Amino acid sequence: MSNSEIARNLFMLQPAVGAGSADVPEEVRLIDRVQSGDREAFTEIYRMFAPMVHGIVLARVPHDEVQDIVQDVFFTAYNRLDALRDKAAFGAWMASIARNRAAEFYRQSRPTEELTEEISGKSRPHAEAQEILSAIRSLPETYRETLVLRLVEGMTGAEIAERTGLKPESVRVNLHRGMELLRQKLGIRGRK
Amino acid sequence: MNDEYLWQKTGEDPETRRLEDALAVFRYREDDPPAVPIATKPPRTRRWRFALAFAVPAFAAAAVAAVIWFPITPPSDEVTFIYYPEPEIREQPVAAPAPVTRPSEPAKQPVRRGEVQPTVASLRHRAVTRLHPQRTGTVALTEEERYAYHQLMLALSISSSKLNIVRNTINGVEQTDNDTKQNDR
Repeated sequence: MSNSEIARNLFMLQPAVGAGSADVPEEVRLIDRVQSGDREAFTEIYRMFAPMVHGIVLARVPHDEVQDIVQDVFFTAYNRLDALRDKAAFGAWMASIARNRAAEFYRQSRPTEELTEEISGKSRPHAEAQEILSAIRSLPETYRETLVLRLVEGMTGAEIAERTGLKPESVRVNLHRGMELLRQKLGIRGRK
Repeated sequence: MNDEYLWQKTGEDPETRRLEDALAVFRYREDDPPAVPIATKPPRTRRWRFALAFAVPAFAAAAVAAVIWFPITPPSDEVTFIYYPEPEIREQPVAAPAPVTRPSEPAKQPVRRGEVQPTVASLRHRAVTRLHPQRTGTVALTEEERYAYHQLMLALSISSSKLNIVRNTINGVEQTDNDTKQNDR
């Protein structure tokens, strides 16, 4: 086993990022505080999970709609917090709410086209960025979400695994294969 | 492609870095969480839901049983007590010890032909027939029974109207989808 592999395995065994204590994950303590009426704790949960929810929604719906849906996801989660059985699985639970809410967006709304820069009158994200995001959205769902969280939200693989509740090995595979597919889509020549 | 950079942002991978920089325009920008009620509800106990899960079907079963029972129950002012003797228990004739001629053949009980044992269902049927010899479509209900009947009908009509609303909504959504598809064509 090479040094890099040992280092990688050790990294995977590290405690969860942001864990406040060895036994109880940070989000579990925050959820307990929210349920006892602490509004600040809800704000902390929002800060912790908003990028993940934003990425999951962005992988599915137009950029203009994402912020509203993110707020809606957190509002829904707050109202349904009592239904959460395993508080340690809060991230996976939030991710599923975000996916459902994004799917609901397409069920409720008529098909729309994003306005061009000239028509909307406000500056649109760079054309290249729009092209890359479109290419990511055309990938299979498994890779799409992980790539957005990595490339757009800037989360590391370990953070993605921790927040979404996925296995680190799965995230690693999804990132690798997703990047290969994205390079093919964008016509980037792979380099070893 | 540098896997380590992709996984934990260590090392160098200019191509991935370029993609990150380009996509940064879509990155989440910190904002305030949605306004939520300050006073939160205390966590509800699941015991209540568990009890409710049993109480609702039990109540429904009781209501159905009551509706089935009422039409065949005689009105309170016409109660007649009829004595039905217990069916006679026939004594089994004691078979005399047969000579052991064929040990492999089991001893047969004597069976009387044409005699049918009364069952609980048949006894009940007879009782109902005697109490209501000419049962037509009309049944005399007491005040309490009538109230229960009206309550049941009310519940059924409410359920029916709600189902109609759901059906109309589904039809409306399908119609909208069809319109959209036609417009797309």
